[in-house]
Amino acid sequence: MLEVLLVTGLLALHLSGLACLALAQNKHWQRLQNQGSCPTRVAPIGWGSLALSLLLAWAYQGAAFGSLIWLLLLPPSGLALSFTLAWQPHWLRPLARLLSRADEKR
Amino acid sequence: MFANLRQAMLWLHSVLGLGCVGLLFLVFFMGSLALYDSELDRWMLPQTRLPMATTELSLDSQVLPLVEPLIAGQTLEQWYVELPNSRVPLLRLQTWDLQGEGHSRFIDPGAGHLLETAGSQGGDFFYRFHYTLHLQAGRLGLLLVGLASMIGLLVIIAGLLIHVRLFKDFFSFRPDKAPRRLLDLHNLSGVLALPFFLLILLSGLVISFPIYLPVGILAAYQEQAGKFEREARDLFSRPASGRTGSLASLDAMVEQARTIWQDGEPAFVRVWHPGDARAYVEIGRSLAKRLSTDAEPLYFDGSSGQLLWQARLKPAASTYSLLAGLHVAHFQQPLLRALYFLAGVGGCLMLASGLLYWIEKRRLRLPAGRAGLRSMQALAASLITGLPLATLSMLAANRLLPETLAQRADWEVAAFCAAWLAATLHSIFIVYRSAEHRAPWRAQCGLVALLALAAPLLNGLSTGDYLWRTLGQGQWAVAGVDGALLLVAILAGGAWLRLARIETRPARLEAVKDA
Repeated sequence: MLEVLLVTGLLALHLSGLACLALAQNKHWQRLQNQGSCPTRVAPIGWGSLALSLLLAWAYQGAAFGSLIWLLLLPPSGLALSFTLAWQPHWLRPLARLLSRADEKR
Repeated sequence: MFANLRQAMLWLHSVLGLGCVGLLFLVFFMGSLALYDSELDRWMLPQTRLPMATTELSLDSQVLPLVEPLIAGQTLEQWYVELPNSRVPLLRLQTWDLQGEGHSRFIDPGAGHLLETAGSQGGDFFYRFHYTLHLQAGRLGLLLVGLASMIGLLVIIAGLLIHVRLFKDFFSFRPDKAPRRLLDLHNLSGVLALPFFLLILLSGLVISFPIYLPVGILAAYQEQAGKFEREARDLFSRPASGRTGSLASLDAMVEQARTIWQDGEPAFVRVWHPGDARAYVEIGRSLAKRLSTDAEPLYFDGSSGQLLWQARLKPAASTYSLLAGLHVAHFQQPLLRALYFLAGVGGCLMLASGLLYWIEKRRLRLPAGRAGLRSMQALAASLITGLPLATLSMLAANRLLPETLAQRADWEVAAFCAAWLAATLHSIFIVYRSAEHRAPWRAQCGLVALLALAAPLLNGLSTGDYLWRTLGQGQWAVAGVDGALLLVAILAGGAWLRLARIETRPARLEAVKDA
């Protein structure tokens, strides 16, 4: 059970980290939100999420296997994200909305 | 000759890239399959589809009685047993006689009888093809693979220097722009898996360096074959005495080994000079949970069972073992193995999209197909659809050929080569016959889909192990191979349908400029 949770969390944080980094680029942000430019906080949130996923990977399989898993997750999740941005960008709209709302409150 | 560095690198990237794309695609494709060699063994050798042992094997009461009648009456240099593990439910027995002739057999540990596995090479074919290219003579294949890896490293570095918008385009994929999408795909798959490519090419070269650069070793170890390895790996050896002796309890030695390794499990037991008074036993540690290939072997005296020697690698040798371990992937963590497989497939994707991009751009720039362009078109088809076609034909042949056929394993390899040759000839024929560049793709995608559907069906018909049954029984290896075949069938079938719908659009000049 704990393993399933760790793997799910690891995948989710890895993907959302990469998604934040992609949204931090104005061309992707504008395609989703139509106006404005991306809040400055988005990129650091993305890096934080990636760092957290690395910690989860270490917790799951130790430093050696964990780092390797994290590194080798880049090609599948990066490609999946790029295909989502190209073909189904609206899937990322909730994330974009969440990120801009967090920025407004500040 | 070139206006700037980028121009020069572009030339280098395309010339060297086109030169070694064929070899590298082969190596990446076969390497990806080799990650699942045990699973393919189960699929291709149905007699080895055994349930996983739940209780631990006793070497003295279960393994030795199986081995002894098989080696009775022979004077052997050593015999070796690989114990079952989570991927392999079998015992593997290997014997070496005094002339260095090796012999390998599989034993069913539950029933205790030999399994007839001469009918197919199983996943081992793909594993060996990955680094020998099935060219054994003069180690030509291994040398070609080494050369391609070295060129591959150069091409990657040149590619990085060309890619000016590395970070801006990190997630860019523009499927609506015709040749540009191939370049996007090439960049994406190349950049995201860059650490993997550098690691795998470098460690691949490191593994075989004694063959690529033998001079240094030959100079330092003149006429002492094996001494380099013995010293590097801190191995133990002693000669036989010629007097007969008995063997102490192997189980007790394994127990000792467990306490020395702390939480390590034994993976193999090797008995040197069996039957001799100076026999000794080597026990190696399981690599299932570690990256390094260092098995930390322990050596015990055969007659007394006392520890003789504990191999301890020097840091330099440990580094080498780690690099080798990162390449050969003996670990059994399922997620990590799956990610290695995906990264290997990603390598194929990078090579294929790069080659196709070059072809598309050439086609838009030049009015009529030239010889170079056409040969590259034929090469692309023979790799991207031809190689899966050949592999699937081998799997189908594996289930179709009668069990009693003499040299059945060789016929399977013949099926692989024949199908590949046929696919290549078909692409050459079509490419030279018509200007319609999609022509070879559609037929070959259709055939890939058909064969990928036929293989699981043939597996079910010949063994009764249909996908639902293997899933129900928890035979994950067979079910996984069947599932992957069905996925290939769906993907290839989808491509076949799409290619039928797409009308060839006239090339637009804007598209060329944009690319």
